[in-house]
Amino acid sequence: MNKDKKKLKFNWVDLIIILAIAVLIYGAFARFGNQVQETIATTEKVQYKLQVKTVRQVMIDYLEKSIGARFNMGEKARSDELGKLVDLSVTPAKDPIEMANGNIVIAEIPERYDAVLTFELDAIINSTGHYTPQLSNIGIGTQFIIKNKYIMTQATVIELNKI
Amino acid sequence: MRKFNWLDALIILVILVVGLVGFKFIKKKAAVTQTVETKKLFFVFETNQGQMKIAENFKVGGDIVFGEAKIAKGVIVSKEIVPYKQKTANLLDGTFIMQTVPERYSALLRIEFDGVETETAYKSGDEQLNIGQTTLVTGVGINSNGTIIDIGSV
Repeated sequence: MNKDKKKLKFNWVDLIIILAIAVLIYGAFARFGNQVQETIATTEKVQYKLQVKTVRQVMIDYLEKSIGARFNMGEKARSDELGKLVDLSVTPAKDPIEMANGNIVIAEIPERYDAVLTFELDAIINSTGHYTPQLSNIGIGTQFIIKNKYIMTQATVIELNKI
Repeated sequence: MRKFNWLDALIILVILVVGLVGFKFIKKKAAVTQTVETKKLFFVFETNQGQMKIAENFKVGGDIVFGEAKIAKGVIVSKEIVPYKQKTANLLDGTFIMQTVPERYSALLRIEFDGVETETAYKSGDEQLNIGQTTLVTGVGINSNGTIIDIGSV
């Protein structure tokens, strides 16, 4: 009888450990599980255009070499997929000049170029916007650093269309 | 004699499973990094505009440290000192010209280092290097911020 009582004795240490594990599991589920549920949305192919400004010829050369390649975000904290570069158009870089007579003209900058990069991406779309698969917004006006094997540069989204 | 406690056994089992999953996860990552080979890579670094003394003090053959973590090592294999140019507006005819700035110079350093080339990146250690990236390059008694303007394998 005495032996049975000892066997059923309540163990506080075990209870604390079980509680700690339960809290950990709940915490992990709350952090990651719910996040996945909230981000479920439709995935659709989009084509969007990024503008890079005032870059050198070497950057243009490597962008041309990168047509068909995949790009990623080059931010310190994020490396989202940005999709495949499908087209590139290059124009001389331009800036405004306020002339001596007070007129403002738009003039070309020697040895510098602007480029418009067209990307295709399987974007996540929900009621609040268009996102990369890793949930960074790619709405028009968004600025981020893009990178691939060769280059890294600042870019701005200037156009976004569903295909 | 101590009695076998099923609860303790269960806890140990849970901890073992968590450990095993963690180990497999880490091992998988490590296996990916072990498949790539180190090779000789280079990048061309343009120092920010500065005085001739800065450009001169980077020595060909000298060891340098670069990158954000300041642990990547390389060797300067060639150097070219060029006058620094900047965009200047001509207010009379409304054009830009690239004007040489007096007493300001840039050094173009070709730096070789042992790194990894993959399908998607050139890396020194864990740090990716790209054209257009700004970084600090430090040599003996000299350092300068600047931009990577070319990259490739030797």
